[in-house]
Amino acid sequence: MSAAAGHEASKDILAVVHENLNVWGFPHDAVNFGFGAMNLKTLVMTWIVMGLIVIFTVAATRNMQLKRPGKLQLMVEEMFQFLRGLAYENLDPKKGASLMCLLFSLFLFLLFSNLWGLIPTMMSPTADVNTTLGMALFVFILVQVLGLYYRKLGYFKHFFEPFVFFLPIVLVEELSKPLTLAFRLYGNIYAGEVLIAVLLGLIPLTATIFGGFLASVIWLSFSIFVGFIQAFIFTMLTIAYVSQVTAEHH
Amino acid sequence: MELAAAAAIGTALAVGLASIGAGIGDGLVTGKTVEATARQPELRGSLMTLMFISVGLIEALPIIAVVIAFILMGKMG
Repeated sequence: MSAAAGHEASKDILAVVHENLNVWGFPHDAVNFGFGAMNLKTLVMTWIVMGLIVIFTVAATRNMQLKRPGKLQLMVEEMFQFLRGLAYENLDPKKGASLMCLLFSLFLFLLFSNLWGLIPTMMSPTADVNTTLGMALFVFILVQVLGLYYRKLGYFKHFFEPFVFFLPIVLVEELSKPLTLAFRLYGNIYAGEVLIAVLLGLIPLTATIFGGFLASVIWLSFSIFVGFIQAFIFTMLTIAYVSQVTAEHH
Repeated sequence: MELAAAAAIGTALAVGLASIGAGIGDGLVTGKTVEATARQPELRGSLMTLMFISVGLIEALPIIAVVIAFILMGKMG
């Protein structure tokens, strides 16, 4: 029947494109080293991004000058001031100042990770749900620890705050925070990357019409925008959750 | 119905409904932002920041729907 013939012919364009794009020869399935399965590609990409960030920040802060700052230093200062403005708006300056370290690292790591996947044959570390879930769980634990630290045991009272029987709803809300953080970032970056692969797979179809890379270019530029926005939103939500939990009382 | 056919329908439905949701949500937010900026142009910066945050939050679930559509698209072949 033509259905069977259709299956053979399409053979999942995505799988074909992924095979051809696997220039560096990473194993496709998770590899088991003895303490659980890991995605080798994600790990290696994470290390590369970490190396890049270290090089970037060391280059920016070497020979820092007050009177004649270099261009890289200005860029990093601009980023830091932007994040500090956000943090001081929502937290009070003492807590905000101690959180700045974390926020800056988070923002820089997310920015570099999201943008790294746009380079041909590279993959964003955040296009893997393990990375984003790990970071979201980390933020969740941070929020709980900060709540306990700033309010001692009165922190548990806020679970029963309006009425006691709202407890399931409050619990679901509390648990949905890390989940939505993780899946928002994962979905945005992963969908972007899959669409890049799909558009590359379409080139034979449209190459004779427009020089088929026009759609790819448009999608790549949109993905740059999405990378910035998602890094910003993750950081902004971290600030918002911490400010909710450490707010001075009513 | 075979799995491939159902997966194809599922993919299309997921992406279509997700884009309706995202479109309506983003349109409402951006419309209100433009209106508010027209009323008070000096608040433009902070309103734009708020708009970007809201768009990111609103688009979270439609993006998850798109990822599910991609998973289903894998089952189509």
